[in-house]
Amino acid sequence: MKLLLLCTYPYSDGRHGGQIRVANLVDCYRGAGFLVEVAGVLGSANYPKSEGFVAFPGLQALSGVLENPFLMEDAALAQLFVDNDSYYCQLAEKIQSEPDVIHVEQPWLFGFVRRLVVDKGWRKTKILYGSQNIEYQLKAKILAPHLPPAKLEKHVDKVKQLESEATLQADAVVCVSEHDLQWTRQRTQAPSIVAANGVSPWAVTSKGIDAANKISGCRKFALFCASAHPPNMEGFFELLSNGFGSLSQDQSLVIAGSAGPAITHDARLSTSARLAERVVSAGIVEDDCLGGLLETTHCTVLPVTQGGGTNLKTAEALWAGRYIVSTTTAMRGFEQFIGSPGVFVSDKPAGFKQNLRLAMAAPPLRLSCEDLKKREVVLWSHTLQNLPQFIMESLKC
Amino acid sequence: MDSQPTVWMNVTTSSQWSRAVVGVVRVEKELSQGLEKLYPEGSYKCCVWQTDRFVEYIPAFGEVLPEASVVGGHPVAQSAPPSLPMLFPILSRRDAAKSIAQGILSLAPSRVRPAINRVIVCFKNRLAPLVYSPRYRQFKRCFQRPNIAKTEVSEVFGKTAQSIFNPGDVLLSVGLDWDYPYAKEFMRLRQVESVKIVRCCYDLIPVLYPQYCVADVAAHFTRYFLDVADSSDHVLCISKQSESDLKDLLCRTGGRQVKTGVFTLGDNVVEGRAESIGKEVRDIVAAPFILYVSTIERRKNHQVLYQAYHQLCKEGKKDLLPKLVFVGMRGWGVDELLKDIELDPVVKDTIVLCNHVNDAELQLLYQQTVCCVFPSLYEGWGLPVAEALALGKIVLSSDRGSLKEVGGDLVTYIDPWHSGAWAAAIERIASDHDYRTRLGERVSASYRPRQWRDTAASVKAVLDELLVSPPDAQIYYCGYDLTTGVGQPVGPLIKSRGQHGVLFSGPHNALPSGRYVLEIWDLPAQRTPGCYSVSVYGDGVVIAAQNAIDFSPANDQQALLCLSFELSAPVSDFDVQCRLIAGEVSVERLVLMSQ
Repeated sequence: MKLLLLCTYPYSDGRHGGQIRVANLVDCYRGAGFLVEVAGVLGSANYPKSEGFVAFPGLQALSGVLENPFLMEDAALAQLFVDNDSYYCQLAEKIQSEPDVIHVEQPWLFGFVRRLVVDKGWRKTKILYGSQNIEYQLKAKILAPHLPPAKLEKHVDKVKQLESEATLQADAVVCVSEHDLQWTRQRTQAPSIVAANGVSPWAVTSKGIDAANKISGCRKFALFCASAHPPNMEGFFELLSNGFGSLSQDQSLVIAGSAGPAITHDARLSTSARLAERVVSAGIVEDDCLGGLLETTHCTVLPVTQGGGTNLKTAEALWAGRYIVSTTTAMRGFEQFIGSPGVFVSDKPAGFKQNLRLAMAAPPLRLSCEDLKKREVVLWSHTLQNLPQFIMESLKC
Repeated sequence: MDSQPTVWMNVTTSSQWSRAVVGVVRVEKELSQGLEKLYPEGSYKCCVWQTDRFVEYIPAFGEVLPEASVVGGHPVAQSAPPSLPMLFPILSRRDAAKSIAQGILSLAPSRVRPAINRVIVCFKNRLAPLVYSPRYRQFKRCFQRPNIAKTEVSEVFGKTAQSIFNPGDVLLSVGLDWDYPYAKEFMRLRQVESVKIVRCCYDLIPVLYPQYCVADVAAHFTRYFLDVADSSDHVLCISKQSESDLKDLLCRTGGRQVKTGVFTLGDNVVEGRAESIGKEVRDIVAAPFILYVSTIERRKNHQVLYQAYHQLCKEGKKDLLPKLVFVGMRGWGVDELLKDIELDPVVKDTIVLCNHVNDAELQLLYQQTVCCVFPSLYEGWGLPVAEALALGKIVLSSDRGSLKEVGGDLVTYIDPWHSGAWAAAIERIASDHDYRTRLGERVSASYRPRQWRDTAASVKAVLDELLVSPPDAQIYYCGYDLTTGVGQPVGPLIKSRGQHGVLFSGPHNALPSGRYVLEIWDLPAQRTPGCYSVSVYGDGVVIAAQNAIDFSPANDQQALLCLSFELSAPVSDFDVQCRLIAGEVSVERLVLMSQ
């Protein structure tokens, strides 16, 4: 089977959740014997050039289709690659042959695909929509602090329309959580399946431990791994600011990923008593070092308050086998682990901070073999295992 | 070294205090004197913070901690020097600076006044945040002359460059700790020197009501209280309200849920010499008056009394009203109010400000007043209410914060925001003689004054409990608390990595004398067959040792080593060294239990 996967970021050496998901989808499809081609548009100037991808068009081009596309670059891309023939053709030229299935990850390139299959006369090609979230709800939360209500509503409506079209017009939908699946099934009769986010087992090296020890200073620490994606920042400050007493003087909160510099430059950090003093920003770290941090941390924090998808970092934290201080939003897709050993869940700042203190005061977590076995469901090999079969059966390929 | 633990009291605040005594200074002084009487000689000592450590405080001959002559923040009269009398009344630094600025502006030619005014405004705006900053206060303190005689200090340093504390000692600190740099030292003393720490929570006003404080101090005091909880074995709160406020803050921020308790402040009014009563006070007591003893600042809500008096005077009841006497230091944010009182023709001559009263004058004012009022918007305790009741006086009080704890059902409580209710209550007190008599008799018959000696006794009970409580089992996680030569810290673990030598050493803590059992725990499944030796040191001397102990992989959880030893005297450097001779092992923790 020939499968074309379209997305708005490169998938090799991926850093953020979307990239990692696409990389694992590609591996899964190839593992099932599919011939996979990946193409798309780079959704940010920060992504490196990648084969099969059109370069980021730039804010000037995006402003031509959407006034002030700040935090709406993805929706502007969606319109640009449908309406503008030049951009449409650039991407169309990247696609080498007629596929049996086009998997469009997120709704941004769905309009492009609709035009493409019509223009090319690919009548047998099936379109699969890969949902990573209930995008319009997430977008509303991201934009709310920055836009007046009227403009916010207009932008959110635009995303909602893109998402609804993708859900309604797709031949099948791949959802990321049960919550997402229920939302989808209320809107389409097309076959749908949950393929939750997962994690790949990582190796812990002595070099990685040394690198992690340099960051933590061999002190007991809690770990927050996140990109500077606005919802990550909002969740962090919503749950941990306004006075932070969860860690004592000899403990720290290590932030790995681009969220670190973003948080340390945020004015809310220094105005929250004792938060700045406890934060250690590691920035973006090598995989080795990340493995070391996950191995040496006492606890992983998941201060997620927005989003309808499953959190890759939750899967990572579950597999790491350390304490987890989380929210119900972060546990979406992994609800079966709420109440399991070492997992603390609270959605309120006070409860979240108290849970972090409790976790940090507890003896190191030692999971039983049985508990470790239960956690294998968070591996990509498990979360995506039914996907190829679903495609072959539901799309009759 | 003494083997009996000592109770130490930090008297840094009162030893350095050179101004009028305020509530915190009085508590420190009263407790210090009370505890000294309660403990046998040698088992209770005072200490002060000196540069970077606590040193024993031994007052020079004839020197005593400042007398707790006045409470509620109002100053005592300064005793005149033996030379010439002062030409002008002594102002506070703030008022003095203000007077200088006022003088410059007044004396300047009118054409340059706008420019000078701009310069003063600009200067004021820049200077104010600096002056009120905690850093400046610390800086200022560095240059203040301490009251400790030099000889005593040098003797203390001469005696030892090391700590004055022994493991198991208890240190009580109830002063203005937020203004001093020793907060981190409490944590270190507790963790490294095994000193038990008892601190005090007066109130959380800067956190809960920062609008009533100078500058935005909420974050600063949130940090302070988080540190108090982290570094204390017990926190003494001056009221249930303060205790509840502290617990709420710790709950909201995830702070350590430290053990707390309430201790009640004494309320006996200090007696003074009758001959020191001045004309101003004699004139006041010659006619009926209502008394408000408190620093004049926004939180104390003098405003509502002014409004009530204004209303009553406007209604034609001026002749009925006793004078309203404000006794207390002028604080922050009340310039407009005081100007209103000064200029308002409706209340003219009914409200009197009385600054600089001495002990005898205050006592006389309390004794002669028709009733006391206390409309504060929030309090951690409310000592003036207690003092008034102790002298059998009727009290009209705000119903906020801890005030109901102070007065119980003997006080008339009024919403502090409701000036009409205050006016009605004052009018009734002023006009209804029978009502006044009834209330007064009830207070006299029912109120049981709280004595400072009882305060000291209740604090002693807390200290004694800590003195005799056996230390909890101490757990040291190898990866965090110990150092390694040939291993690698991996979170709580130290894992060997093929080399043989010192696998771990530490924790280098102080340890009281006694019998102990030391356990070393590892991950048995990660062992490969080998052997090791362990030595336990106290101040560099071997206390116990075991050599060439074999180990092999195992599936069950069992300590790698269990070792008993005895310390005949406390040690300041307790060290366990493990030398790996062969094999691989991942050690997790040392558990030290007192027997």
